[in-house]
This record gives sequence, structure tokens and C-alpha cells, in this order.
Amino acid sequence: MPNKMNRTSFLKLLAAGTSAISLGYFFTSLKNQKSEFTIALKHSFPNYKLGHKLWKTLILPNNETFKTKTVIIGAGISGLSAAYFLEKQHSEYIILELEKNAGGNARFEQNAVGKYPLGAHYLPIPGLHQQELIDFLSEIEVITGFKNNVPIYNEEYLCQAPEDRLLINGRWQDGLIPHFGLDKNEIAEIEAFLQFAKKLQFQKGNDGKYAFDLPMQNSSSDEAFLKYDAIALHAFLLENNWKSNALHWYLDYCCKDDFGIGIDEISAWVALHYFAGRKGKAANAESSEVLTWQNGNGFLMEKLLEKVKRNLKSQSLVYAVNKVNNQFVVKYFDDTTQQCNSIICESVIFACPQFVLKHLQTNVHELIARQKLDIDYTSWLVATCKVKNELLSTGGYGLAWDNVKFGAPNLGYVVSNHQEIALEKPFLNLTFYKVFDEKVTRKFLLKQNTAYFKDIVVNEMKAYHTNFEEVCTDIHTHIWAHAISKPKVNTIKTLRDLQSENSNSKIQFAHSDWGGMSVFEEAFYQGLYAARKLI
Amino acid sequence: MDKLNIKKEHLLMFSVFVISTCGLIYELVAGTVASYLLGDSVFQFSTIIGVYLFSMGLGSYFSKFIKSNIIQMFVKVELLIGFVGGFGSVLLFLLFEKLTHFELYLYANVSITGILVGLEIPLLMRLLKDKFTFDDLVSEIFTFDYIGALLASLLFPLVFVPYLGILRTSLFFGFINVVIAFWVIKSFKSELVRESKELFIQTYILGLALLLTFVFATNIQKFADQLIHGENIVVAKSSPYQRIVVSKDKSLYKLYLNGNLQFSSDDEYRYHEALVHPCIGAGNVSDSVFILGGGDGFAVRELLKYDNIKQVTLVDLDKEVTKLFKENPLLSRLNHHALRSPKLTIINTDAYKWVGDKAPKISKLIIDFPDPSTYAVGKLYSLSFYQKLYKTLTPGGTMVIQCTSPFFAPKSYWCINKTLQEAGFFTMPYHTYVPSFGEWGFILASKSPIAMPVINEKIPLKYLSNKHFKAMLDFSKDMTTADSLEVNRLNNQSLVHYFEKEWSRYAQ
Repeated sequence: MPNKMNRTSFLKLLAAGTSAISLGYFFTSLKNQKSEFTIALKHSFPNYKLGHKLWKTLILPNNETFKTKTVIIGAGISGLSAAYFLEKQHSEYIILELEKNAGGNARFEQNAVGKYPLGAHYLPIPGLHQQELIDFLSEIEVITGFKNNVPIYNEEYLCQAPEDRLLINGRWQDGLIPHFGLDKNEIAEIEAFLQFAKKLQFQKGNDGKYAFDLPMQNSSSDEAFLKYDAIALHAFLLENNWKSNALHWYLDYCCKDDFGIGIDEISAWVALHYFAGRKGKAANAESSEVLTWQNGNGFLMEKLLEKVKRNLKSQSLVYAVNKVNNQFVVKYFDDTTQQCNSIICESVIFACPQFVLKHLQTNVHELIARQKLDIDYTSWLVATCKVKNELLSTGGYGLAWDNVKFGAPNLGYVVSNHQEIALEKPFLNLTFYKVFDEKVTRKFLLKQNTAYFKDIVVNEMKAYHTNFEEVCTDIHTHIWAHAISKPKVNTIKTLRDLQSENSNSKIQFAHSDWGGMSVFEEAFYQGLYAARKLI
Repeated sequence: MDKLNIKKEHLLMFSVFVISTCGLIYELVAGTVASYLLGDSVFQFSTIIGVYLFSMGLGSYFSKFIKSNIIQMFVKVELLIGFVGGFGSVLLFLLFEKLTHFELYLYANVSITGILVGLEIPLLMRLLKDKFTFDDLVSEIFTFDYIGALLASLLFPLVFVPYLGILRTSLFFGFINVVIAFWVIKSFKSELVRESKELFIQTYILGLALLLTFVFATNIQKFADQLIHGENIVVAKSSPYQRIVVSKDKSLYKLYLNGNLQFSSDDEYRYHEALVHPCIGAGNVSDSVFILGGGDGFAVRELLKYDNIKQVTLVDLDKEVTKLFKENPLLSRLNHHALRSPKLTIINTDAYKWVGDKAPKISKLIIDFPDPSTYAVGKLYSLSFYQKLYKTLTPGGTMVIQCTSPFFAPKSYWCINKTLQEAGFFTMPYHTYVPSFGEWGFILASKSPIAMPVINEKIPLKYLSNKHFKAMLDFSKDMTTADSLEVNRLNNQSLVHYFEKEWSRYAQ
């Protein structure tokens, strides 16, 4: 009997022991699977510490004085474009840039996967009438030839298929215009709006100019079209009885993506430029296609920069521009030497955003007039995430260049190495874009640490790919506190008046802020026109 | 005594609740596994629920034949359910590849579980019949039964499948059945004097088995996933680029890359002779030949038949593939050890980049890429790539491209032809019949008009002749298309779209 008892208790002991070990193993294996994912973080932002020196009046002893013909303030696309055209005319110039690197919103960086943009990342195919832009693209071999006068683009620079997709109603659909799971009425309304915009595309005003064109100053002054500046896009849609939720979301997305501001606030006139302003034509692509590179518009920026960089002084903060006799004296603080220098010149091109002008010491009346303007800016978060090419996705259309989620609190992400041609890509760079709404102040954003922005990116990217955190190895977050000026209702009229006043002065303003649209074409032409007026 | 009775009654009532939860879970597991393995979920769920409910009816009917030892029978039924229900889904996964009549096993499994579950409630009712009035008994039993069913149907999709997975869910509930059995044995020890020890041991063993399987369920799942190909597997490995599987059936070898058949050893000579020799016999003679793709070495084998070819360069992305066909004794026998030839240079790199950056001038080029089924491969058939090849090819040089099937995918085939012409090439399309693939297409291309190739018939050929080649140039009506086709560009990937549409008609 004791023997039997022993067997039973032995069995019990065995069972208990095995169970304990097995359960222990099971739970540790669960724990291992869910171990903390470590993501390498990097955070960057504009050099606001240097910029904010302007908040106090700088009075510093002058160290050196240079002479040149033209000073260009700002080395974003407009400043580089101005320099590029002055260079072509063999005209003397110096570019002063606050940041370490030139390029403005078109700057880019690089990680182990490749280059990626910090901001602007594509250029829609230009229209045939944008001759100077076409000439530039030919010169840098983005256009390889012409067929019946229509440009043939280098196929490797055209955005490769598949271009974009939208996550809507639980599925990825082809293209960004919502259609999957929508009812007929909504689809019909979207179609009606697009037809309306398409009709405007090649329409001309009573001055013979296109109703909607880029740069903005080439658009017609015909009141029949300009009147749309007095109304916000949202109100305009309601006036036309376009109430579809999906249409409103889509337009809101488009406006934020290109102009950084939603349909409630944006001038309908500016918004219509998104759909009717571009008249792209190519021999080997559809009219709506875009040009893009791994480093985004950094590719175009570098082509401009190449020709002009020997005249670039970076980390240079301009703090005063004064007219002395018939010349101008531009004073700047050189952050590398911590000294102040002056440049005496015949003309100045202000190729910096409007908010910078506000703090300059000056006696130049054109500048004073612009300092008074009150332009609002939006703040952006642009984050590039290096991920293993093992993203889990809900069903439908496969990974595209541009990937957007319907109703998301962000503008989606772009696969930056999409244009790289390789049979296998073990890693991807996903560049994520988010516009902060007004309530998030610049002051607040500049105070936040890296972890704060990482959490935003990780949480919002998880809505696209549930395993995002598991496959992501690096995140570089970049904050643009003053990313884009807001083209609100009635701003365009003021800007257009300013533009016509300022035709033959030795003081030129060239920045996409003055066109109300922060896009490459606008900046490129702003720079070009400013340079032309000085020659 | 009275007190003890109340306890037992509650225990038994509670077990009704647990049992019905388990019962419904097994039904859901079977339905889910069947939809997962066989597809067509509406059909699977509908038939499985039907068979299951019917079997429960059978079980209830059989219960009247159990006359004595009801408690012991109840415990045994519990243990059996724990076994059949718990291991059911594991066996379904493991046996999926092994059984010819998988459905038969599936429904047998569902029926047995159903019958056993059907036995449970009547047995319980009989155990409880003296403890309650009939009205109360029926009312309470069915109340707990249906509450249990609701609980199961909510927990299954919301908790168990997402957190435990299908295998672990069924093992977990099998374990619950065993726990019920254990509890009942313990409570009714007095009524089970003789059998209790035996039943305890059975309970322990089954419980332990379920627990161990539960812990190793992930490995079982992995093992089940590996059983993909029905034929005997000679090689199965993953390179950074693809899954390479070579199967052997008697003396027949088949290579699959990512599950797509690349060649079958009994008829690959038709494909490779047609691929290589017309190109060698067309245009200028050259002693140096380049191959893009074709890491299996068969095209190299064909080239080595020519004494006047002194140099062969093979550019293939996947080092694992070239290594395999060079070193594996079975596979290198198939390509006559071509990859060991001193005439051969192997470059493992991405062909698109190689052609753009590093390629020398080439007079003879053989292109044997996989079919354009993905955007990544589609780029190797793009205008942009062909423009690069145009710069690389010498004026009298010729190249040949494998171009998928003009019969299954005529638009794809002629789209490639149009893209080559757009890049400036003169082309000569031809096709051949390869039994394991069907009708297959190739295109010869050159920068000048192509005269009729002259195939050197002195070299050992099993299939090709000059006479037959002329017939290969003729395309019947069902291998052409009347539609106007787009050029395949990087920015439209038209070829991938054509290919997807055309082949999807044949894909299962």
C-alpha cells in the first residue's frame, strides 16, 4: 500500500514539476517574443538658436567688409535659383544662409539605406509653357530629349509604378482619390468636383493668361477667377452643394500636402491651383505624373547648388540691411567665427521667408512694408524611419511610393528608396509627414524631446502597419517650426499687389511665401524673376 | 451528506457550462482550420456546423445505451473529448499534406467530437435527475448550456484566436475538459472506488500531453508550414532573395523559386536549346557571351557545346542559386558541371545596376530572368533597361530574351516586343513548346535587321534544327493580340499589369 501511494505521489510530483517547467518555458518564450524593441533615434530642427539672436537688437563691431554686386539672403530653392540665373549672366553675387546646409525645405540627409528628404520630395511634370523650368530640367538631364516639342523625361526620375495608394474602409486601394467602399453618390460628387477643376485647367482669363498657373503671378487677374480668393475652400464646396465626406477629406489632404493648410482656412483660389494650376505634358508619361528622387527635391536643389556654392556663406545670420547713398550695406553674424561682417552691394534679393524679415534692422522702405505683414506658418514633423522590408499590411494594393490612410491625423508616408531599382530591398526608408494644427505651438514643439516625437511617429505608423515597431530600426525626426506660410482667404490679393509694386527696384523679394504656395515651381520662378529684374 | 450533495450538484451544473463552452469552441476551431487550409469559409463553416450538430444528436441518442456506471462513463467521455478535441486541430495541420482524403478525416474528427459532446449533457442530466425536479433540471441545464455557448462564441474570435492562436486554443480547451474530468473523479471518489486510480493516471497523462503540446505549439506550426511541396524535396533553402526548392520524383527534378516552377529536368533541354542557339547563330560571331539571370547553369551548358566560345560571363543576383547548381552533386550533374567550367566567370549582382554601371560592350547576350510577375522584376523588362542594353550591345551583336508564354499571356509577350522596338531594337519573335510549361516565347533582338539565324547542327542538340526553327517563327492567331499595347515603362509598369491579368485566368 505505501508503495502504491508512492507511485501516485510520484506521478503527481512529476506532473506538477513538468507543468511548472513547461509553463515557465511558455511564459518566458512569450516574453522573449515581446521584448522591448530598440529603435535608434535622431532628432533635428532648424538652427533656431542662431535665428533667435535676431529677437534682440544686435550691435556688434564690424570685422570685415566685402563688396559684391548682389547679396542673396537665403539659400533655399528661391535663393539658389536666383543665384543660378545670376551665375548664368556672370553677374557677381554672394549668398548668405543661416543654416549649415543650403536647400531650405528641399534639404536631405542620408542613412545606411540611402538618401531621404527632410521636406519637399517631388515635382509634378511641368507644362509646356513653363519654358524656363523645362530648360533647367533639360540642362540637368532630367529631360533627355523632345518628341514633337514635348519633353521626354528620364524614366528613372519619373515616379515608378505603383505611385500611390490609400487605406480606406480596411483595405488599400489604388490611387489617392477615395473610391473603395464609397457609395455611388459620394463617388459621383468627387467625380463632379474633379471635372469642374479639369475644365478650369486650360481656361484663360480676360487678360489672356491661364486662370490658374504657377508661379502664382502668372495666373490671370480676371475677377471671374480671382474672386475665389475671398472664400475658403470649405465654404466654396458647400456653396456648390458638394458635401461628400470623402471629397472633403480628399481635398483637405491635398491642400495640407501641398500648402500645409486644410480646407476650412485655405483660399479656394489657391486650392484650385492644386487641380487646375498644373498642365503637365510629357512624351513618355501621363500629365499627372511626378518626378521624384530618393533625396526628394534635394536632387534638384543640388543641381542648382553645384553651380553656385562657391559664393555661398553658410551659418551666416543677416541682421541688418540699410541703404547708404545708392548702395546697400548688409550686415551678418558669422556663427563659425562669431564675428560680424558687412557686405556693400548694389542690390539685395531677400530669398528668406517673411517671418525672418520682421526682425531685420533696416531703413529700406520696401522691406519695412513687408515687415508689417502678418503671415501665419504651419509646423511640420517629417520623420524618416528605416524599417526591415517586412511590414505587415492589410489586404489590397501593395506598397506604393506614397501611402496614405483615410482620415489619419497625418499625411501618410513616402517610401524614399522607391526609385532605387533593385530586385530586393532588405530595408526601406519611410518618410512620414505630419502637419501640426494651430493649437500645437512652436514654443511647445521646440521644447519637446526626441522621445515625444518618436512616440507620435510610432503610434501613428502602427495604424498603417501593426508590426511597425518590430521592423523599425531607426527614426530621424525633423521639426519644421516655420514650415510653410498659410495661404488663407484674401492673402493672395495682398501678395499680388506687392508683387506688381516691386518691379524695378534694386531690392527684390524672392520666396515662395510671396506666391502663397510652398512648391518648387513657385520658388524656382520667384528666384528667376528676381534675378532677371536685376540684370 | 446533504452538504456534500449540494457541492456535487453545483460542480455538475458548473461543468455543464464549461462543457458547452468547450463544445462550441471545438466546432469553431474545426471551421476555422478548414477555411484556413481549404478556403471557401462559408462552405466549410456551414458543413462543419451541420455535421457537428447532427453528430451531437447521434451522441444524445447513444446515451440511452449506457445503462450503468454513469459517472465513470462521464469521466471517460470527458477524457476522450479532451483528447479528440484538444489534439484535433494539431492533427488537422500535421495531416493536411499527408492525407489524400483530408476532408474525410476532417469530418470524421468533427463527427467524433460531436458525438462525444452530444453524450455529455444527457449523461449529466441523468446524474442530476434525482437532485432536482424535472422542471428545474431542464431549465437550469439548458440555461447554462446556452450561456456557455454565448461565452465561447465571444471569447473565440476576441480573445483566444488573437492571443493563443488556433492550435493553442484547442489544446487549452482540451485541457479544460481534462480538468473537469479530474474534478469529477475527485468529488465522486466514493462512488468510483475501484476505477478512480486508473482514471486518475489517465487524466494525468492526457493533461501532461496536452500541456506539453501547448508549450511546443509554435514549433508544430512551423513544422506544418514547411510541408509545402508534395514531391520529395532534395533541396529547400532560403537565400536573402528567394525560397529555393528542388524536388525529385524518380529521376525527374523540378526547381521552384518562391513556389514558381523554373524547370523540369525531363524537358528543360527544349527551353534552353531554344533560348541559346538561335542567338548564337544570328548576327556577328563572338567568342564571348554574357548571360543575365540563368543561375541554374543550363544556358552555360548549351554555350559550352561551342569550341569557339572562349568566355562566358554569368550575371545572377542570387549567390545561393549559383552555388547550389555548382556544388550540389545532383544538380550539377543536370547542367553537366557547367558552372565549374574555366571559361566561366560568375558575377553575383543586380543585373540592372550591372548593365548601367559596369557592363562592357557585349556582342552576344542571353537574358533569362524570371517572369515579370512583380514590380521589382518588371523593371528588368522596362524601356529604361532596354535603352541601357542598347548602349551596351555592339552594332552587329544579338541578344535573346525569355518572354513568358505568348499563348497564356499574349499581351505580355507582345508588350515586351513593343518595348524592345521602342528602345530601337529590331526584333525576331519566336516560340516553342515545353511540355511542363506549355507554349513558351523568346525574342531575338539586334540593333540592325536580323537575318535568319543559322544554327550549327554539328553540336549535340536533342531538339533544335534549322528546319524546325523556321516553324517556331510562325505565331498562330491565338498567340497574337489585336489590342494596341503600351510600352512597359518604369512609371507605368504596364507589363506587370498585363501579366497579372493574363496569368490570373490560369492561376488556381
